[in-house]
Amino acid sequence: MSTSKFLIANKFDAAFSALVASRIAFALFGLSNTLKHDQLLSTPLSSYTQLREGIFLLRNGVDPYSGGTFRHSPLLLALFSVILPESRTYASLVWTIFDLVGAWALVSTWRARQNVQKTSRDKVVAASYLLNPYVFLPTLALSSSSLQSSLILLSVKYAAEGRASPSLLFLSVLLHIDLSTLVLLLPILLLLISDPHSHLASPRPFSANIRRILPLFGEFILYTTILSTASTIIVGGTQWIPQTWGATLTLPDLTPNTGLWWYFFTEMFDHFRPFFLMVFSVHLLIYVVPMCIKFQYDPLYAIFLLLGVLGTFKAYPTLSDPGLFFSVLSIFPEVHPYLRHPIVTALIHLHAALLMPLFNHLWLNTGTGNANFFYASTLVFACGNGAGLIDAVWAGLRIAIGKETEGYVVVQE
Amino acid sequence: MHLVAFLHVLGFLSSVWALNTSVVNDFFERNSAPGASKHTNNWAVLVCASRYWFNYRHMANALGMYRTVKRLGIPDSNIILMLADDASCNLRNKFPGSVYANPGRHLDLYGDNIEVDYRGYEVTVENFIRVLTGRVEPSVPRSKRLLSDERSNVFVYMTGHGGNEFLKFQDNEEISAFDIADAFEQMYQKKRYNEIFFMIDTCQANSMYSKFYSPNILATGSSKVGENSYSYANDNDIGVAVIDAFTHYILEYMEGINKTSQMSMQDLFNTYNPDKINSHPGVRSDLFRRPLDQALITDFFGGVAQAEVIPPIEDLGITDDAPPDLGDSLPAPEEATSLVKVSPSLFSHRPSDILSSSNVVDKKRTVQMWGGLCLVGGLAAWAFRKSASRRPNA
Amino acid sequence: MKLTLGWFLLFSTLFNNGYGWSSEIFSESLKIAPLPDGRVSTTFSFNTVLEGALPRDPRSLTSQDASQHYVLFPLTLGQILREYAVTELHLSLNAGNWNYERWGYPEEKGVGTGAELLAWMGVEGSESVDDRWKGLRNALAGLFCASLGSLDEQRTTSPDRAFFPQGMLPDWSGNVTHQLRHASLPSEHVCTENLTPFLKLLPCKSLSGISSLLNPHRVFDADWHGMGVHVSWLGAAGVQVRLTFQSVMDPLRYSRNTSRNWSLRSLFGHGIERNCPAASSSVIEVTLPDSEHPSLTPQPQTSSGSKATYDVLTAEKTLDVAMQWQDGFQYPSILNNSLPVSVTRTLRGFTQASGKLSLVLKNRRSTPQELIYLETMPWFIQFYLHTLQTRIDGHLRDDIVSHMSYNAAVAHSRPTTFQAELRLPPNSVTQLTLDVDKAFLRYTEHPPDAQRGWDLPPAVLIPLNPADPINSNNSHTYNEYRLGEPIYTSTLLVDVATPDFSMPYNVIIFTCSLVAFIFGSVFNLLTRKFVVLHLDANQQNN
Repeated sequence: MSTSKFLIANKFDAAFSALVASRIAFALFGLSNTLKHDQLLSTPLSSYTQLREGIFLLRNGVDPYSGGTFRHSPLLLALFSVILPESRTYASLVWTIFDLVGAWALVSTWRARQNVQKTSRDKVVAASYLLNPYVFLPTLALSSSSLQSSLILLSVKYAAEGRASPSLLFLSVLLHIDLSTLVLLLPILLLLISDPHSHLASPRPFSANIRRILPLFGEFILYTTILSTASTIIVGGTQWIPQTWGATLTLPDLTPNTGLWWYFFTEMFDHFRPFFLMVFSVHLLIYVVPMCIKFQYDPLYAIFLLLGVLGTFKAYPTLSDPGLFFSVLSIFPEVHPYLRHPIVTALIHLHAALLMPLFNHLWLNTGTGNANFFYASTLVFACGNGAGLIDAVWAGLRIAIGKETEGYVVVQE
Repeated sequence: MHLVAFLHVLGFLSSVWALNTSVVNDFFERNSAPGASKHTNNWAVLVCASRYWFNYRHMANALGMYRTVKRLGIPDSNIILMLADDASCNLRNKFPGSVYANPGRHLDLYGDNIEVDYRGYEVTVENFIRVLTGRVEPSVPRSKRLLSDERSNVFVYMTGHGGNEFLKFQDNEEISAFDIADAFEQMYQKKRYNEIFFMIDTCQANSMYSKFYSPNILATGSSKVGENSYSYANDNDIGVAVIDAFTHYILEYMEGINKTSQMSMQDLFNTYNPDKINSHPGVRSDLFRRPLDQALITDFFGGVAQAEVIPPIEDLGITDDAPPDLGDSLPAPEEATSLVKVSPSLFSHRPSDILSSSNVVDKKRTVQMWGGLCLVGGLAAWAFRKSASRRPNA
Repeated sequence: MKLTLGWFLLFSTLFNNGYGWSSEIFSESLKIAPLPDGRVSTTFSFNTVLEGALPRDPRSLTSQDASQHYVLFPLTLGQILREYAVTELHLSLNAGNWNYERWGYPEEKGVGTGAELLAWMGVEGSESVDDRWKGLRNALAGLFCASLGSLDEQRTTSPDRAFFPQGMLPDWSGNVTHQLRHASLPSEHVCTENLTPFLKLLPCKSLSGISSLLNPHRVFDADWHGMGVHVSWLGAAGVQVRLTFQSVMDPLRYSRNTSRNWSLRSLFGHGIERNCPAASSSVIEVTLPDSEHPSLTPQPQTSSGSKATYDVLTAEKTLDVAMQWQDGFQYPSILNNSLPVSVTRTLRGFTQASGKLSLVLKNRRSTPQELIYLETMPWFIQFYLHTLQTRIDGHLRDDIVSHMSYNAAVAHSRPTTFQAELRLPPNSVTQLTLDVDKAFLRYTEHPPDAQRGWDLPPAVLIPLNPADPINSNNSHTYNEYRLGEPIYTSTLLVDVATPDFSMPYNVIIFTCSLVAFIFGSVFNLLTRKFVVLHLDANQQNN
């Protein structure tokens, strides 16, 4: 028995190492040129070519934020203008390193949740992040959404380990890169003052003193202010604010992506545009408090669910946002038996993931398709994400009721 | 006390107004037949709402009406011509600079002297309604405004593709019968017309005037609900149909009308022949207060106005004042100013970002970037040190 | 009758002078040049100079303007110029593509397809230059029956490195500076309704003199035609309005036996029957080709080298200048091109999401050629400047492009302005490529015929020639070069991705339904209590 297990483990190790190595090889050797323009993998807010353009303009004395197409944060601009060499291979290396860091952070979070130093499932957790196609394809395209995923994982890791300052620092860097990650603030604060261990099966009211959040919140505000000041210094003015944060709120760029916003606001009449922009932005915020209240005994799960909300409803999503959601599912094995329709979700995703690039190509490249084809496939994709989110919420709540017994059925009233 | 004074003022003003209107009415009564029109000027709004070469006939329709109203006396300044596309200088046109309305190409409707006020993309439903109601932006020039008043007779002609209670503009948007009815009502409220003659040549045209509710509107359309309007003839050299049947027969009739013609609108409507036109044109006259046989065609199509012949000035015994002395009131000629040749430094351009990797700019940029990065790095170091010194509670 | 009219005009101009009104001089000319490929280029030029006049000081815009009294100077145009205090104005309405290879340089420089409006206006505090620009283009739209009102902020730029005023710019002894506004509308059509008001601005309308030749049925049949309105201030000489009409006509097309003979009658339908009494000079200038010697009837008054001149005022009427060639026409297999630089611009790429702007420049001289390159693109073509590459014979070079200045586009409002200096090596073919992104427009921003695509304005290249030391007193200098004749590339047509225009409501409903469904399900789960039901025949609650 133990020999077979040992053999299986060895085979798994071998396969895993081979896959990871090949993935790194892919990342380092040139697939990114064909993928850099792919609209599923990078948006105007996370595109690598835009980043290079901004660095070029900055180096030549033109303010990249004076025009209207550069929307990366000044922090990324400064970081990459010093770090990033002109070669694409080194950029791929940097992105791969970020991915590995993200995987490491996910494994640490898993370990913190299990409260052990090492588990046998570590490799599976790492594999679920590194080998998830939704995660490594944007890395190949050098989209800054992969950096975002890694930063989210780092912030969550430090929050799970109880180290407030790094966690909040990463969160405020995240806020600068993408404004919609603000929804993660409350559950991370809650996680910092409670523990990451799994209490899903035994719900109880919030154990710690809620007032301890306030100094942490203050610390977050401080970090954000300092980073904003740094950004202003880097750029030499505050014009980056409407270009970066304003872009998420006013949607000036209607480039197609995997989300629901772009086509909606393409077809929207000008009269109603401000109202619906407000509705869609506030809609993201609605989920925060109810999730945190319902899962107050397990804030890590609330973070996980809010990642699902972000992946479905963000303004400029790429594949890596729902990809992160599905990868993080691997650190909650206790809810896996209670998922009601994982196969349906997986099949919807397969359907959408195959059709989205195809319809995008048909619409924009060959011209034989319509914008509606691609829009319909993004609707299916959103259905898949929604199905996964709903299933995760159900499973997280259902686990508290207990195992399935004959003659009884669990319903909601 | 104040109320009494107010009532006095009100009474005085209304009596003045009544006196004026009676003077004006007298003028019109004196010199014309009882059912004659009381207008003093004529305006025409001619709209071709279709784009693309195969809708050549719609542009020919509108241009045919344009030529007719111009011939009968409405000047260009009182005509608003809206053509959604350029048929005459279109690259597909074998006869550049010309638009013909019959297969034999006898009459060039474009001619040498034409002013198109709204062309191409400017022909939109919004612009049309703005023109009618007068609610235009301040920057819109005079030639694009309908400056009609209470005594204007306005001839509105529309042609294009349409259906039951709608007309398509440029294959992209629609104007509905309700929109036009509301626009006319606004015109009525703002006293922008004396009488309106509305003519429309499109499929199911009669539905377009079915919703009017303002007084003094006479309307006619080319086909009833459920019927199409057909073109008249193709021209083999131009390659498309060149005129619509309804407009063709109207224009043919108008050939016999000149500025002094006394033919009435009833005569025009009597010439409608559904067999020849292949559809049933309709007339709506319930909102029109005069009998149709007393409404002259030139009341709408021509630029004929009421004129009163008054006796020569000497007979009236009016002495004329001395003409004003202009000599001293002319402005002094402009002062000669020193003339400076332009040099680049006098330009105050918009800041155009110059790409320069000059040393000074470079240094400043580098300092800024490193400054920002150091700030971030210091923050990170402080955050990590702070957390390291505070052990997590397991 | 004509004589008395002439005397009357003479007296009225003297009379005007006595009252301090400016005197006006009107002159007209027609230049005809046969081109090597059998076509004939004709340029009409109608000049009115208002002597001693000064453009309106923008600081006086708040007060009432003094009345202007014009006899020959076009009143409607003059009113517009004074209303918005415009110092220099260039409007051109062109149709067709000027083929520099075959036709050489045009007489009138602004040959970009469509409408192009350029104005220099003095800067003054109360009313901004942009407000006056808006008023100016709308007023000109009304005057010339052109859609110039759509030259709004999405098409207006200020490229002051590429365009320099032809006249002088006064400062009204107050250090008033000027700003340039430039806009173009490449998709504008030109037709008789533009020519009608153009002719009405002339003193003799289209009834007599050279302007009677402008027959719309003929000139709009030309291979290329363009009209221009140029207003400039000549300093002490006063304000000049120059109305021009250029066209390139093809006598081969009209003739039945491939003869390139032309005459005024064959080109314009009739000759000149009457003099324009208001014209102080009225000349027809015919360029004679160097190699062949066609005959010219009637005999020209003066004939010097390559130009033959006719004075219309004294010539016998009806004046019908005709050129007859002895042999039939043979289309030359190689056209000797004397142009130093030729440019071709294309937009490559097949997707509706991105493309590559490519500029191919040929330098035929044996000396290096410097050029100023101006590119103004609407905002939906987004440049990636870091991908700008220059190649000669396939090798990358980095010494060709220098001194770039860049105004990035602002989405939905401002176009891109890119100006650079190019230095072309002698006898070389240089290729410039730049990656561009095609943005996605809102439903309401697409034109009614959205599937046609959008026209992109032409790029302008201005060769810089080393300064000519003899003739440098009235030239515009840029550094130490003298600006040469600008070259306009052709316009481009870009196909932008369109949404489905038929279903805005459907899209809104679908997306909102999906969002509501997910929202509702999640909230359902979060807010409702779980209950365990005992599955019995009685269906009791536990």
